[in-house]
Amino acid sequence: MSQETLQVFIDGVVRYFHHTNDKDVKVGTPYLVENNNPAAYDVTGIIGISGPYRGCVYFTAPRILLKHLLLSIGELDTSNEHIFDLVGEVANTISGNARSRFGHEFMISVPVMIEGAPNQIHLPAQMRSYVIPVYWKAYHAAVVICLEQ
Amino acid sequence: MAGKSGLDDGKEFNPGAKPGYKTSYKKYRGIIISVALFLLLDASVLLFNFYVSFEIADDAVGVNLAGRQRMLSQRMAKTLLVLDASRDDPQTFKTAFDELQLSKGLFDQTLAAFINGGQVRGAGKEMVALAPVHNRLGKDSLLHTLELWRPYKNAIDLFTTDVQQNAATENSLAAAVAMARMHNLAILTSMNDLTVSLEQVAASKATRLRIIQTVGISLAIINFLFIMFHFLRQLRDSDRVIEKARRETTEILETVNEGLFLIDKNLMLGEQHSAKLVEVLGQQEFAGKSFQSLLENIINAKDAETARAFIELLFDPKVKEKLIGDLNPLSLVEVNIAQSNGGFLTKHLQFSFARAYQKNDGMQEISHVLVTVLDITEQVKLQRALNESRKHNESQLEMITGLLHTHPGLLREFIANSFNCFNRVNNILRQPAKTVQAVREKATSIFREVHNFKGEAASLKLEFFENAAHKMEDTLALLCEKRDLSGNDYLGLTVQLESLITYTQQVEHLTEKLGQFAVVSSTIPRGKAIANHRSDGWDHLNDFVQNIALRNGKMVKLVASGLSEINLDVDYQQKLKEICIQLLRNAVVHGIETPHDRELSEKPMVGRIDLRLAKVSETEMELTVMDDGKGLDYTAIRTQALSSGKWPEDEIESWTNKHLLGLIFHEGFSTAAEINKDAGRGVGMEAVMNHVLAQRGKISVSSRTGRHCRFVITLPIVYTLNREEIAA
Repeated sequence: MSQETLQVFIDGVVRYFHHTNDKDVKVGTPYLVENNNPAAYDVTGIIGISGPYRGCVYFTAPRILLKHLLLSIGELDTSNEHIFDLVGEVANTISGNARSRFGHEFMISVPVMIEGAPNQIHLPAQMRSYVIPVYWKAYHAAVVICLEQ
Repeated sequence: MAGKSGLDDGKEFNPGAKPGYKTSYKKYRGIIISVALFLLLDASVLLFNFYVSFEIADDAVGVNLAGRQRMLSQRMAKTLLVLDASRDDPQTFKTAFDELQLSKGLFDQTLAAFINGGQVRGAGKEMVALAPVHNRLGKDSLLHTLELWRPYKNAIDLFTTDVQQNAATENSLAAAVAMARMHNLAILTSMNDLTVSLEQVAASKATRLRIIQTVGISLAIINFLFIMFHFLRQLRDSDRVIEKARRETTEILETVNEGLFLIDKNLMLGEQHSAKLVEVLGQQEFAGKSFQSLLENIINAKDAETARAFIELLFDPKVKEKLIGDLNPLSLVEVNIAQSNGGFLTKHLQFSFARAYQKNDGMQEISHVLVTVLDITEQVKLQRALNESRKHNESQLEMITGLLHTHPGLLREFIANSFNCFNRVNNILRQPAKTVQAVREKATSIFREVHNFKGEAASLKLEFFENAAHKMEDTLALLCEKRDLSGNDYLGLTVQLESLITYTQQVEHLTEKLGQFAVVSSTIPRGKAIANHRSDGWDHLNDFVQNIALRNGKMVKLVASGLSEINLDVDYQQKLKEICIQLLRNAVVHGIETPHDRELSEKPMVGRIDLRLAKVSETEMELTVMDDGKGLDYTAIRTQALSSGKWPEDEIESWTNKHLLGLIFHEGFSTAAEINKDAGRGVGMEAVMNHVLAQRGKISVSSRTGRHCRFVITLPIVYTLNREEIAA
């Protein structure tokens, strides 16, 4: 998978945070994880990708980050429902960015929100994923990209 | 006729069938005639009923008036008797006289009307028409009455005249009373006969009416039953044929191995489709759906638009179907069906389109396009797998040629070390680092790892790995130079790492396969020399040295001793090897001169490097690497130190050789003129120093310009656990 392709997904997440009040978002050094031990925080929003590359991209974050993020965009209700919606929104921003950059070549599914790590349906066990840490305020979140050609 | 009807609803694929009004008229002619007949019968019965009922109504008037005649005859007789009795009572006489006049007039008028027909005052005040009586009995009784009535009437008229002329009435009244006495009963009987005859006529008409009604209704019922039985049978027959045809169609649609459906001019799907379609495109409501929306969800919008344009061409009768066949954009299309879990199910489908015609007024008209969808995912996958395996085989062959020269044991060790190295690099990347400094330090740490890896790859002449590591070093060098370094900048490096891991996994896979092959081949007894050949993991160093020498245009002889004599721990031995590799590389690149230079300094053209490992005590060993090259170039080190700008110039000027020597162990310090695979990064010596310091060892360097350079490294011994000893 090319660096440019990965960058598109990273940009999607950064773009989301740039819409919030606290724009100071940092991207950590990307690393690899084996899919049989996937990286995830409390809540995860997954989008399925198909086309020249296929697999999934997900945004995963701890609940505390999401609560803080909700407050920072002026949403005072930090119930689970809103947290899921927020993760879905981040995932949607990622897919929106990917759509505008890749054009019609790629098919991108609507986000699916889950608690914890994606299962094997999304992540083929014999593959590796790229984990790109995202630091926002004092919190850690991550974009995880698992695509095969 | 009925046999065809099952397919005549315009849904068949067979373009030869004839639809149209003619067929329907023929089919329904029988039923139309029968129904018309039924209505005609009903109407005529009704008409007749009307006619007869009017007649009966007339007859009823007749019967009624005949009855009145009876009554009038009796009243006349009665009034005459009253008149006779009331000659002295003028009041009563007058009343009776008037009544007599009225009764006589009515009776006479009615009698005439019964005989000749005409208007007569009815039971009410209205005038009613009476038809002449034709029946025999009635006629006879009328004539008889008329005969009796004439003298009777004359007698009354005479009496009347007398009364009106106030003449004496005794005689005329007596004559009238006598007439009444004589004819009264006979007239009554005759009028009664008339009534009975008229009643009989009416009754016979009613009977006739009933018979005709019964017959008419019976005929209508028979007609209805005929319609019912005949046409029901026909309908049942045609239904059976339709049902059979439908069953066949259903069976075809259930069984056929392709997704089949029709689309009309508006690109809407027909009501029916084959069962396979659900399997191919997923469960959904197909009937009445537009083909566009069916496609839009599974292929990208651009392809869907092209497909729409293509189908529109198919509906254009001016376009030859065969000519545009090749333009079908969906002849092989990859569709992605969204799954509920957010992923996609990818299928490869083949859509083919064929025009379906219908005859309309003798003209063949394109009515629908038949769409056939075939799931060829398996074939495509097979084809891909074939291509993949061909490519894989080619790359494996290439890999094998690159690996063949390496001893399998060493290779396995190298692979294991590589994975360890990759893990370490990945772990460095994984550490959270939020400051620029922390991010930058990662590059330095990774550089060391990669550099060692490169050294080992080079020592085994594994060029692919060496090149990959070199490229990673290039990337890392750029990262080090970059200002405002961020985590994102490492993305390229991570991608390189990933592809290197993938490649290494492939090599591992291949060596496993080759290992199996080796097991098979080792069962064949070979010469003792080979059987005894114990890979101690040091043999490749000579190759490594020769390789670097060749690349740098030098001639070197490596004299190694004592390397296998100490049973070192595997990991420890690996570290020691890394140190040897760095020192040997340094010796070849920086120490040994080119053959030409050596010749000029009256040295043998082939340089010599001594590599010796010796046990100093039970706990200590000494590694010596010595070359007979040009010795350390202190001038070059000083120049490099000056150009690095890290230290003040005058301070450098004052440095002794010993101080300058320390610089070569500094990070990023190299005297090489340019960066290549073997030198120039200034990382190698620093790595050696790190290893030695980590083991609490010592390094001493001695050098004589133009003669030699010697590195002596003292390290503690870490013994391996001897398995045989444990077993004993």
